[in-house]
Amino acid sequence: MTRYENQTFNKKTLVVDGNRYISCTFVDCGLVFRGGDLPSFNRCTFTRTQIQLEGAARTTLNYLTVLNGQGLFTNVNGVIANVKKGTLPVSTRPESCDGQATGTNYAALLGVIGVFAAIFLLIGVGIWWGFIYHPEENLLAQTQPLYVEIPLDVMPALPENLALAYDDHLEGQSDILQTYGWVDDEESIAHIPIDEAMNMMLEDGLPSWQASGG
Amino acid sequence: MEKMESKIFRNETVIVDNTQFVDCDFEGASLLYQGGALPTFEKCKFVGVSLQFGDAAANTLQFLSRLRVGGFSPAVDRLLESVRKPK
Repeated sequence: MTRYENQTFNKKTLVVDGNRYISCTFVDCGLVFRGGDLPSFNRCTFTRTQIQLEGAARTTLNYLTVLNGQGLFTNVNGVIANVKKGTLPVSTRPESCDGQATGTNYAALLGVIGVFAAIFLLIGVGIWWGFIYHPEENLLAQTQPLYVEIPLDVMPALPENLALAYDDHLEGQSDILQTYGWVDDEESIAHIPIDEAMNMMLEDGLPSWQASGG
Repeated sequence: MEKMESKIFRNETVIVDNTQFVDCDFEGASLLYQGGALPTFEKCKFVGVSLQFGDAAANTLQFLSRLRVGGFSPAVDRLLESVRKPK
């Protein structure tokens, strides 16, 4: 974009694409537009100045002529009306964004690349050292079993014949329930047949251990 | 120039620059012109089409519109009316 300020153009043909004119005077000039960036005219005066379209700008009008020749009168008339009203049927496609980083600071760029390269190098060395060079030290040595085996000799030994062992145990318990005997001689605690104990409880109620002194 | 022949464009945006359309149908399509090489249409049918302009073509229409507002309405109108006159 070229900026022109306070200039007088006399009998010249000017390509105006993208230019900015401020307080300029145009006398007997031709303003040529080729479809590039829009020019701007601020506080300018024009005397016997003509408009000329070239390149893509001329082709655009020719395109409208072609469409008109194809019978698209309504569409073409609509475009012309919109140009006159200032409401243009421009493309609805999103405009491209300007570049976010357009500088030429190559030293900074190299620095950033170097930092990223160093980070990737460190990660690569770590992976190589941990998984390739010393895999047994870093992985296998620190692993723990998911369960601890219980040695068999710690478990209680089962009798060879469970039925006989059960009968012996039941007989012993039945003897205790049906006979008299000492539970603890020193403490003078004895056991009596359970039927007798039940009758005593029915007749006398629960014994008072505190009152009898044990 | 690319050649499109016996195609149907239905409810889509068609970039027409630099294209030769032959025996094509445009149904509800949007013709997008961006100021490139002039397209040609031979034996084509248009139903419910709309026009869109981008890049240089849009710039051109905007340029004419601004000039018209800025005092060049006779010149701009002459250019626009030339479109509707058969060559």
